[in-house]
Amino acid sequence: MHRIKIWALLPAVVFLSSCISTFSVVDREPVAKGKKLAVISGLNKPENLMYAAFLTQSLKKYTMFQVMPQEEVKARVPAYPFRIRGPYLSYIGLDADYSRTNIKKIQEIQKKLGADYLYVIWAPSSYTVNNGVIVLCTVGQMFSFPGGKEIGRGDYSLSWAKPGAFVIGPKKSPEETMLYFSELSAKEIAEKLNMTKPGPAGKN
Amino acid sequence: MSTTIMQHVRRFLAAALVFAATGCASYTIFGTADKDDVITPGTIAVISGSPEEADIRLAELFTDQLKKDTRFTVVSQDVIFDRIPNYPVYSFVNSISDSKENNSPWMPPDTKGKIAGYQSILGTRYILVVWTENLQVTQSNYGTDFGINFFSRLIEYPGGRVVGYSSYRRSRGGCATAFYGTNTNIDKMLGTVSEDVVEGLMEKTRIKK
Repeated sequence: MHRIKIWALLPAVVFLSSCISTFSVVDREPVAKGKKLAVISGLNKPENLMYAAFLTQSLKKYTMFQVMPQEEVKARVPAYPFRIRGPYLSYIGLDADYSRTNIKKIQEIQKKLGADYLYVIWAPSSYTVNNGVIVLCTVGQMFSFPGGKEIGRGDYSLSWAKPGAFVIGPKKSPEETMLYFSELSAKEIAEKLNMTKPGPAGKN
Repeated sequence: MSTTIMQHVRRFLAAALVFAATGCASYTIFGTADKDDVITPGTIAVISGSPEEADIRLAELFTDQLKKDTRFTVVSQDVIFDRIPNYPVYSFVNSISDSKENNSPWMPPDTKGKIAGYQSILGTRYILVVWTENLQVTQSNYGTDFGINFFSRLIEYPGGRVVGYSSYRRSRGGCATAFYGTNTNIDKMLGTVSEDVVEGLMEKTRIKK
């Protein structure tokens, strides 16, 4: 385990802000409702898998995509989850670099899944601020198939308080935080791709 | 000619930086286990010593550097990821870097066993294990300074003997860091580590292209 000392880089952590953007459209192509989408964990780390599961659940709830369960992804892709080189440098925090993604690997996964869209999420690193707040850095990219063209992307951080830490504001567990951000992200994806599910679940 | 002079200047600066960072502590950019050890061209795979981002990136950088500068036949990281499920899952190396023996070819038997498991899948003559420790970022009046401890073990097969090793601290600081963000500065520092070590490896062996 690295022992990272960040003397100079204690960033201000903004809690659960509603103005955060989790997704922006890169290529504005029409997305047909009912198309198959699979969420892929870009790393085989527990927190990455957990967040991929929450995103799967939230995208199913808020969008008109036909979202593939994580169990089906595991069944169809041998050795999943595994590391896919992602769009970032992330030694301390995360700097997105969308040219770094291993597109070839993502295309191979899509061939096994047969999905129309893949939303790949990476949560490569976390750090602790002032011994009280854990910050998890994430970055995601959405690809359309056939072709593997990137249609959307976003990077953002999730944060939650350590048990017993003195933190102003509501304390959420990692699970509650991931659920909150996955719902925020699913609603934003739905809105920006015109894929919001009709009815009470789809409303913000 | 100018290339040779620049290489000497670069080596001198690298040594000066390492000395400044480590004080009087002993360090080895790359050393052979035995002065008579000869490392000859063959197949090689670079293995990340842990699942940490810096170590995985170092394995990529070393793979590229070895391909570029040496006569080794280097296994690509994509092949390693494809052939070894869940790679890199083990932290092979904490017991080595925490040990007093870290600046030596020493490697505990259980770690050697796990690496031998990788080698049996990859079938290479050499495995180079690379890893880092103690990444630090400090702010001073002159800017931001970065530092990281680097370790390596070069293992030869069959036999599984450690024939080469590294243990040193690399730093990056000064005005050059002002032009880049934290992660890019760390990435550039890791790039310099791979250049230093492959250069050290070529000096002590017969693998230069």
